[in-house]
This record gives sequence, structure tokens and C-alpha cells, in this order.
Amino acid sequence: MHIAQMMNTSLSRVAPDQNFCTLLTEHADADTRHTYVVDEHGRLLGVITSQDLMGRMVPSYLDPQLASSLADGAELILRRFRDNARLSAADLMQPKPVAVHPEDTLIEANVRLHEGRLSALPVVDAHGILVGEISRRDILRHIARDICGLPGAA
Amino acid sequence: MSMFWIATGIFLLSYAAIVSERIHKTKAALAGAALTLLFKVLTQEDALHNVDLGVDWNVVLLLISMMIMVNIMSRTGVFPYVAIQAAKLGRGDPFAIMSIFAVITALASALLDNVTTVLLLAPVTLLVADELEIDPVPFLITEVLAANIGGTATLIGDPPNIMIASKAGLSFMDFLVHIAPVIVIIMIAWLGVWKLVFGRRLTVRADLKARIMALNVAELITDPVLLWKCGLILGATLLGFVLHGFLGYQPATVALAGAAALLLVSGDDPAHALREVEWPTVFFFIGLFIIIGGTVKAGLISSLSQQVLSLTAPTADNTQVLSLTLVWFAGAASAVVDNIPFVATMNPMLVELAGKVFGSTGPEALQHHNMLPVWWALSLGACLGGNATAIGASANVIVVGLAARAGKPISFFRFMKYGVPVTLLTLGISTGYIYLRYYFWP
Repeated sequence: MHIAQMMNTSLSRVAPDQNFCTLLTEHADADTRHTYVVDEHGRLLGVITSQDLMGRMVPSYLDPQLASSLADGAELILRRFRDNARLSAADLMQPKPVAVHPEDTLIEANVRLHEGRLSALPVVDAHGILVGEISRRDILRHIARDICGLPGAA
Repeated sequence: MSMFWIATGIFLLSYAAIVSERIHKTKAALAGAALTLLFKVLTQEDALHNVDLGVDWNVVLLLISMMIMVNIMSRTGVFPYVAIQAAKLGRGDPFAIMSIFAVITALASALLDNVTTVLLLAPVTLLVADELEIDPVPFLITEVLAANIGGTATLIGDPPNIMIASKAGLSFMDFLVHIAPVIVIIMIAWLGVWKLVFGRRLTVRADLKARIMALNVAELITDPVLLWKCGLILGATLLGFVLHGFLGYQPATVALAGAAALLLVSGDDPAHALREVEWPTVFFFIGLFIIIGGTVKAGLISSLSQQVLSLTAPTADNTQVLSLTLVWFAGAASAVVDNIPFVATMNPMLVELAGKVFGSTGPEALQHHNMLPVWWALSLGACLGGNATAIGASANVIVVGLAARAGKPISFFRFMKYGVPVTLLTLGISTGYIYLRYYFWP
């Protein structure tokens, strides 16, 4: 079974110069796990995960105890959001992400997800153009519906 | 090829690899140790059981035991609790907080490992800087400088002191009586200079100070019962360090007893506390001891000590030139190379030198009243010299990495802008102290 048959094609695509605020809104509203940065031809340049955005607003040095000492964490988040407002998608993205091809198999996609400890992978064609996203949930949905034949899995 | 040249070759090759940082220093040290044994410069019996040539297990056991104690203590939440209380004590004023954090770091690192101290305080420092909307870099660098200065004060504060104490048979009290006073003077002088540099530059609005006062410490102590147990056992261990000379115990015995007691009362799986031990550092020491043992047996150290002897001309009645030169030589060397391999090399060299000057390498020569200032000079130079550059001490490297991860990179030269003047100041005070205390008013 090829990835093309189970991937999600309703993607959140942004240009490299997209600003932080718009990017945050688009990412929050998207159906896919990640937001993808593409050039004017649709070629994949980088990927932005929720953690990439969250990390700019919630400091990584905070552990649960230290976080409990903050009277108002929302204020800290707002401040850091403002500090990062000038960043663009190109600044925030992880460049050269691991990607799979539409003709790759379910097993290959799963191994790549496992190896990279990723929740989803971009799918690109032979020209590097982004065509979809494959997540663990997409794979599980396919296994449940088409391999195990479970009712309601679709 | 003679053993002398084989040992010299292994020594130079290993040290070049350590300094280049192209391969991990532990790998370089262990490879050097393996070559020393494979070429039979040292027998395995010598490497593992010979007190003069082999691994100094006193140092190794002391390091491991202290790491276990810190690992268990850090789980109580006491470090962020103390740091946030300290920030509140400074009433949100940035320079007051910087000074209090420097004093806390110096005190903590006198009793604990410098790297651990800096790592435990860094998250709170970053949070305080975020809340005050100021650059955390001067705070982080101040803390690492304070850690290296404070660590110099005691036998257990910095690995070079552990090594010097073990080699020369010096006690915890010896360090407290001879080194701690000059560290107090250095801290006062340094913070005075810091007040001139930062006092006026670090100012924030009143509403930002109020954010610090609003920080909540109630939930920071995660395990109050364990904290009590840790406090009691750490107190008893410190008392053990103070009394180890009178009781006839080695410092490692005291530390092992403390670590074992904490492991017993913490109720934790020992695998957890042991997993957190910095094994690469421990094996770095083991490798170094074997390489240096090889150079001692092959005669390299003896010929180097002869050179030092002819350059500084110490006598049983006067070691002044040697001591005062050593402060700066050790300081300069430790600014560019790790002070642990430096002291590992200097220790046997000074033992050989003591043998030539005082006619023996026993405790009566190593602890001779004219030999003691030489050890203190080595300790002060090696520990304080590490402050000069971003690679001078392990804590510096850790803080630079940590700042980069927090999005506040510290360049090599920015670190030097703080580190070099502080190193010159502290080595200058150390030189004056050694001269006045041991040679001017002996």
C-alpha cells in the first residue's frame, strides 16, 4: 500500500516571508500536524511544528516547579510573542526536513516516523514539490479500515 | 625506542587531542591510558594499585560520591527555591540580584561541583532576566565566574583541589585555613569592581521589580521530607570533612559515607542516582592518572621538575620565586587548557621537586611549611585561571552552551571581556596574599 493512498492533502502551506502572527493563526487553524514552508513553485523548504512556535513563547528552561512560581504565565507568553513578532517563517522553520515520496510504502513511512521521533512527515514528489502529509494517525486509520476491516474507522 | 620517548609521545598525543577538542577528552584520555598499558610503560598492577604511579582512587571515589549526593539533593527543589528567595531578597533590583546570586553560587560551589551549581541556578537566572526584561548574559557569566572563584575555597570545591589535596596529603581544614580567606577577599574586591561596572547600568522600572516580588515559592520544594534528610546528611558530611584529619579518614571515605546514607534514606532506585553521575568526567580522570603515571615512571616528570628547579631555584628555606611564578603560570595554562590535566601533570612534578629540595617525598616534605605555599599557588592559579576564557573551565563551557540554547549566544570574545579582567584581578590578589602571608610575614 502506497502513501499516496492514505496521505492528507489538505495542507497548511506558507511562504518563507510569512510573519509570525499570521503563521501562528494559520497553524492553529490547520487540519494537519505541521505547517509547511514552500517556495513560489510549491517546493518544500522547511517544516514548522507546534513546538517550533511554542518554544518561542514558552521558555525551554522552565521545569514544572519553576513554572509554578510564575504568578501570571500568560504575561510572559505575550511578552515573548511580542519579542518574536518580527520573525518570519524562514526564521522559524526546520530546514531540509525528512520527507517521503507518494510511492513509498506504509512500512517505510512508519520506520521514518519512528527513527526521527516525528509525529508526521511531508510527502514530496520527484521534483521536491509538497503533495501531502502522512501522520501516525493516517497510518493507523488506514490499518484499522483497510487491513483490519474495522467498522467506523473511516 | 626508550620508555622515556614512548611515554612522552603518548602524553603529547593525548594532550594535543584533549586541547584540540576534535575528539571527546574522555576518549583521548582513555586511549592514552590504553597505549600506556599496551606499550608496558606502566603495568596494570602499577596503574590500578600503585599509590605513586596509578589511579588516585581517593579522587575518583570523592567525585562519584559528591555527584551522587548532588543528584539526590537536586530532586528536592531546594536550589530554585533558594534562588527565587534570593531574588526576592534583592527586591527585584538587578544588581542586588546579580550580587546575591554570585555569593550563593560561590558558597554552593565551595561545597558542590561547579558545573552542577551553575546548571541548577541557570533556569532561575533566565526566568529572572525574562521577568526583568534584561539581558541574562552578564548574570550567567557572573555566576560562572563566582562558581570558579567559590570552588577554589575548599578541598571539595573544584577537582584540582581534590587532586592537590590527595597528592600532598592536605586536609579540608588546610584549604579552609589557607585558601578560603583569600577567596573571601577576592569575592569582596570583585563584587566591588562589579558594582562600579554594573551598578548604574543595571536599572529597571518599578513594575518589573514587582514581577520578581510576585514569584511564588510555595510549590518549589517538591519533597520536603527528602530535603530534611538531605540537609541533615549534608551537614553531617560537611562536619566529617572538617574533622577528617582528626578522625584519620580520607575525604573520599567521608563523601562515600554521605552518599551511601543519602541513597539509603532517599528510598530511590540507586540506578537512577548512579545514571546521573558524570561518568565521562570520572573516566577522564582515570585515563589521565594512568597517562601521567607513565610519564612519572619513564622519567619525563623528573626532568621537567629539574627544569622548573633550575628556573626558579627554590631552596628548603625559600620557595618564593617558585610560588609566585606558579600562580601566574598555572593561571595562564588553565585559561587555555583544562585545569584537570594541567594539575594532573603539575602534581607529580611538584612531588619530584619537593624530593630534590627537601630530600624526601614523604608528608614531612610535601607538607613542609615552605612547600605549602607552592601547593596553594598551584590551587589558586589553576582554579582562578579557568575564568579567563570560555573554555578555561567545564562550568564556562556548560554556561556558553546553555545560553546558546536559550537564544542568547555568548561569543568567545564577549566571555573574555568579563573573564580576563576578573582573572587578572583574582590572580593579582592571590599573588599579593601568598607573598604577604607566607614570605613577608611568615
